[in-house]
Amino acid sequence: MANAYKYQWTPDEAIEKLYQKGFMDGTNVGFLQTLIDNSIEIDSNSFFWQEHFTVEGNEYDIDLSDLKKNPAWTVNQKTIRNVPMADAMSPLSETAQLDNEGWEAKTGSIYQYGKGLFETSMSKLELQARLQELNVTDQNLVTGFVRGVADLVKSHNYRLSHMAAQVLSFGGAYTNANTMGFSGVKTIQNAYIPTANFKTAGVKVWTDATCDIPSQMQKIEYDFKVANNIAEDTPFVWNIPYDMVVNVLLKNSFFVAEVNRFIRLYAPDKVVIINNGNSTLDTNVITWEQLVAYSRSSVSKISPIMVVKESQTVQNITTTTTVKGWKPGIAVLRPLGNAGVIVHAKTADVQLMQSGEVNPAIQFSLAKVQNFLYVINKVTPNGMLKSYHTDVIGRYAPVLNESTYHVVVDTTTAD
Amino acid sequence: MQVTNLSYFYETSRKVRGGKFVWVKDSNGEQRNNVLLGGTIGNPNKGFGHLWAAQLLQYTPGQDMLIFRSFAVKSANGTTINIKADGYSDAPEVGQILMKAPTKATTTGQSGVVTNVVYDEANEQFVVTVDTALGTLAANDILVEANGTAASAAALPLVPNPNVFNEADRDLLPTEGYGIENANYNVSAVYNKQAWIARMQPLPTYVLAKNRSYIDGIFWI
Repeated sequence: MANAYKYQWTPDEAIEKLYQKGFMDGTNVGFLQTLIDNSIEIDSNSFFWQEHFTVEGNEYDIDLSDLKKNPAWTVNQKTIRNVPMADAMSPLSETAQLDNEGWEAKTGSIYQYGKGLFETSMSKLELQARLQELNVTDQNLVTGFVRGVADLVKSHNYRLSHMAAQVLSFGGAYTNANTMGFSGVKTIQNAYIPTANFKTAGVKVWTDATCDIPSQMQKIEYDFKVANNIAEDTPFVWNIPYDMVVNVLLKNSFFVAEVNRFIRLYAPDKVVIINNGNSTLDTNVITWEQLVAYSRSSVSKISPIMVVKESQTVQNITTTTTVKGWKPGIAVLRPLGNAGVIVHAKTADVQLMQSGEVNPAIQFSLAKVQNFLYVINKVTPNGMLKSYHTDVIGRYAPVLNESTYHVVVDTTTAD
Repeated sequence: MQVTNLSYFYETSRKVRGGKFVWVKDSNGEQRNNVLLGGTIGNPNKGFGHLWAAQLLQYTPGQDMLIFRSFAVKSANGTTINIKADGYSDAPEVGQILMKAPTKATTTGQSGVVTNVVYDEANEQFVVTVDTALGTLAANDILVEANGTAASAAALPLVPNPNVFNEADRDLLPTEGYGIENANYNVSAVYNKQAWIARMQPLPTYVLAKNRSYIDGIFWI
């Protein structure tokens, strides 16, 4: 399976696991359904960002006693000077000098995100009483799903995946304008790849049935490498969203022909349908696995295709909606390997809690997960009783570190 | 030998928790005040029932505690009213007396007795029949329980002053039928707490008027 699938279980297998746990006997069907509706999103790939970004080793510092220290990241892009041939000159005369090299610095802020769990003493007792109805195995499963910190961590990975997909497909930009839920906080970052790296589809838009997509992709790659003095064998990769692969590329007759060429040369045993011995086509139906295999082979016109599959959920006060971070109709061409890093900073909340200024009536403990998220457990007064707060917060942003060579192709606009 | 146990077949289903958050959380510590002594529910459900976290009740010292039941209308046609079964509206029961929530708790209106309730799972609604039409009803109008024992053109809300919260989800067992006698629900409640309005039961104008919070969307009582 390609990069889009990182989960060890398919949804069917996961439900099977629940059966084995004895969770899905007749009386508990309703609750399981609720969990699947609201909590278990096995196929939505919360860790999508890890396919393209790594967490930067160093945490950006903040200082509560110095408000000027707001964590920010900087990307420096070298401005490559033109290097012409040496001039003919007569002895004892002056040489003409080269232009200066420089760089463009782009900075951005690191915004903060968070999600929490909350129980009061009364609701905790109520939950415990209900759990008594279940056997021990079921109790573990329910508490694991409902009360675990794992879901909070997952929520951050969804946010990060959403931003990562935006950063890749918008050329460094991201925004929460459409995913604010019930937050009033705006987090906005503009694009910072060179303007020239925003390309159009080629002669025809890719959805055109007569569009020779493989050749147009080849031309985009060739032109970009020539224009930037990149060696032809420098490995690049195409990031293409799953829906574009399935609805556009797999239906494109030129890709079908290319994949047939690949199959005849390298994988004749993989042919599914034989139409006609005299035809240049062995099969009219190609799969995305065959397409990816073709793109990775030496007969490919294009750099390897990496399928992008991601989606997230936005929660509003009464509704939830599903969104994707990837900009529709965009294909990305970029150097093989990671696209960038996750920059991350300390949170003022954690620093405050560590500063010794917390009211002794509040008990808390801190932990760090994935090297950039803070888990804060708090027990706070709730009148005579207690409240239990579990918060996971973090300040982070995905940043491209190959921005000079990051190409965003709008497949819906012809040249 | 319990022959019935061997020959009685049935199935049930239910959903437990897995619900929506309702309380406004605050790491600074939440407020929570007890009522004096509590009370017995004066308008208990007849069959199985449920009190949601943050459901409102009316507490009057030395008197019965009243559950504030409210229902959001999905659509209505004469004496047939479709009530939302979305987990926010309460569940209607035969014998309840309903009226359209007046703007003020002291304003009278037409009430009617519920004569039939059918749960329509496909459309997420309770199809309720009342003996007397409740006047013009539009989607999202709010019904509340009315006082009296029969339909009346001059009915008042049964619970004019909901003033305390139920703190955590609680299942209620039947109080009528099956030979049950003297079923009393003695409950306590809390106040000086804050909840998200959109996640509470439907709140009519006369209840929202009691809101102590200046923040939109938050109900504090």
